[in-house]
Amino acid sequence: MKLSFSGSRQLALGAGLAVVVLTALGVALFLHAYASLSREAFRDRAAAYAQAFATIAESWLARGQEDVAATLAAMLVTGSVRSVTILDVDGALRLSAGGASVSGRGGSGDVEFSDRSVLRVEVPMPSTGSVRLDVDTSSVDLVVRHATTLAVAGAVLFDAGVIALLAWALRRRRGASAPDVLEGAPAPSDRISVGALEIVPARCEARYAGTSLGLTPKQFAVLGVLASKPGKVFTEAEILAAAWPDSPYADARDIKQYVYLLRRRLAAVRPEGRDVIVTVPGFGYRLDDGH
Amino acid sequence: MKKTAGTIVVLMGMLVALGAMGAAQETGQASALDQRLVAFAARMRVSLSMAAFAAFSPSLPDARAQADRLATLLRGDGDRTLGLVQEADLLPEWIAARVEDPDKERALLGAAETVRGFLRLALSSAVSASRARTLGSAADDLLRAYACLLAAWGQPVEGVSIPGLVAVLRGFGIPVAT
Repeated sequence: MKLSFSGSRQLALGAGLAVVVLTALGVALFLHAYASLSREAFRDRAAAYAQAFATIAESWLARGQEDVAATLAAMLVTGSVRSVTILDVDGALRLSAGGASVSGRGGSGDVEFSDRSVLRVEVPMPSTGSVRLDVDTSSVDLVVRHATTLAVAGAVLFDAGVIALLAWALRRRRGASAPDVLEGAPAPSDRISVGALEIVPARCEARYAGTSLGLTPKQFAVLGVLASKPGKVFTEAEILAAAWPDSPYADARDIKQYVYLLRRRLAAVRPEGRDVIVTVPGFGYRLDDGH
Repeated sequence: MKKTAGTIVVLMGMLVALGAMGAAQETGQASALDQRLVAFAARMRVSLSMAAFAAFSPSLPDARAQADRLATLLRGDGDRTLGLVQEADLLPEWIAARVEDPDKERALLGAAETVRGFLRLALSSAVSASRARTLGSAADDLLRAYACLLAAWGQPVEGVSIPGLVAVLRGFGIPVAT
């Protein structure tokens, strides 16, 4: 199936739009999954961190060395950890570091986000009491923000690349389908009139007595070559060079085939009268005004 | 960074005092050397505890901060406080001053050498963790530091061990909790 240039343009526009929408959807899905997984992984690591500290703190507390446990708790308050609280089995404060609040008490093994940027982790100590950590999640949020920036930048670059590729393909197609005229021929934007035949290269349009001929790009190109200098005899080599510039395998048979098709189109709109395309045996073809 | 170093110096000072208090409690009329050795052992235990939970740090900045603290504990803070590595260099001196039996002294000097070697490896791992670029490699380095500290401690497992600080403590007649 062959498409006209305007059809190709619509198809390219649709494809471009689809690529942009699909990329945006893909990026959104990826970022959502990435943010969820990052937060989940951070939460698991924070729980493991709290559990490791709980085990160690309990061993010091069991030896009656509460001061060492307090020193270790103070050492824990760095980076993401905002505060550490060790609670007795009845929920009473045993020791704390980093300005911890002890209002209320969660169940053992609780992990919750007390606000958007603070994760509260509470884990039981192996035999008695529990340890509660308030962990700042801004580091994982920062990682997600960086990932978002990278993903969006990547998507924009990808979209721009695809759109540039489509535009290039369209331009190439338009270049191939527009009539190639010989040197000295009228500019493509001009209107060419040969008798009742009218060709508007800029609009890829050919009419005879006001009726559109509905030509294919190659038919239009061959007619455009002949119409570029009405009455001039174009040799097959000249027509091939102008209408098939990129096809080394095109030959005189192709010209004959397209001239035949053009004559049929023209005959359909002007059943009577001489051929507009005249064969000059031994030389080539020329365009007459048909009168 | 200065604030962190200051905090660590204060914490280390507290630990030295705690160790000395522990020594006084545990050995009664222990000599000054015994007290220093007990304080050294207390700081080793704290370093072990630190390395153990630091390996589970939830993020790279946490792991690097903990590794930095561990490295400061091991390396000391300039001229103000000796680190475990520098103090371990004094172990042969303490052993020579405290132990009279040459065979025992030789055995304890071997153990002291083990302690020094493993503490240096632990410091190298902690420094490496403090410069790690991923959480995984920082955690690996911290686990390695923990393993080296454990080896320096030298607690026998199923009766088998490379003699470390436990052997030195026992050589000094200081009781060691199992």
